[in-house]
Amino acid sequence: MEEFKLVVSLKPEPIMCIGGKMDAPAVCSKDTFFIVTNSTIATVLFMLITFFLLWSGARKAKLIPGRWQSVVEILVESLHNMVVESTSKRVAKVIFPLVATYFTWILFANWLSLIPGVGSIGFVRDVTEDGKVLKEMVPLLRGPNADLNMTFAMALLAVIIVQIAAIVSHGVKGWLKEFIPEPHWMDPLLTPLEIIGQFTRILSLAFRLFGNVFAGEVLLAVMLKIAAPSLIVFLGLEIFVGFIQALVFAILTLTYLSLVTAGGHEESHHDKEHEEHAKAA
Amino acid sequence: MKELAAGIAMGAGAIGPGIGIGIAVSGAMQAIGRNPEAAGIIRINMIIGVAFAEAVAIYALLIALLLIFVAQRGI
Repeated sequence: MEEFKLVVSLKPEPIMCIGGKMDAPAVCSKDTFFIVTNSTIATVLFMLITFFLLWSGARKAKLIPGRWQSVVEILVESLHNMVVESTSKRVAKVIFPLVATYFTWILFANWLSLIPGVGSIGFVRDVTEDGKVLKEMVPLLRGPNADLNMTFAMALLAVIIVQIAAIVSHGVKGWLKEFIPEPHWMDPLLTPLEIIGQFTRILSLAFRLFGNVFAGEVLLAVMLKIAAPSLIVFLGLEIFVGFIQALVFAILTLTYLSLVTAGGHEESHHDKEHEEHAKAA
Repeated sequence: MKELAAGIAMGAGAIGPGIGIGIAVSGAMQAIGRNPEAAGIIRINMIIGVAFAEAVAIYALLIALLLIFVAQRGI
């Protein structure tokens, strides 16, 4: 068997540059409209697979569920219980889709990227590095969460939605008051810390998920190179880590949201509006 | 030099999480010892706590990986 060189690429490799041209060192030119990387292809593909899997468990729902419908029901029901325990039923109606989507998407993305072939099946192309022309192997698919763009986008969205939930629950003044914690004489120190704390949440969410998944991929590649028979153990570890990281991301988002929607007065206002609409209809 | 830096980064970065995970699991063990019925929920919370402590070790691992595979020559 040929000796292969282990190449670890932090950034996903671009495969297609829409609107621009690809230069030799595998970088898209400046006028590219949209870069399609192997992680983009994998994201779209896994999204379709996840949607199809879950949808096929939910359509034609029978009262006595079949096997796959039971599995989907277990997933949805345990997530719903988790959300209702941390917040109230009213708040859960609004928050549950977000938290459940985060958990389900990250779980399926992590597990699907462990399928043999993701990250290993690809094509070879030329790359110029330091003036020399080398050949690099570009995988066609790459785990979506091994791309910092994906995890950063999810983390940014989560924190923005938390701020929006704070504004909806307590108004803009209530939201701004969150950044002014109790010992009021220490305000000039604590308020900037609280604001920075919000940004730290984005970074920590993004890097926790990215680090775990990417380091897992590197671990699998290194184990393949030095001790191939032990791979089954590390695959098991990666399955476990993928599940735990999905759970942690979802639980963190849920915790931030529950902290912010605790004791919201706006909720009862919305319920009264719903009652009036129902009576008029 | 980069390899040395990567080794130190990962080694030093694993001390804190190692101790932290030990403390978390020890707390969980004591809680299970006092209340074996609640073992399920304690286990779930322990796993979540361990995941948070582990994330810090993962940050250190990321730095080590960055140093070895991504840092330019001459740094």
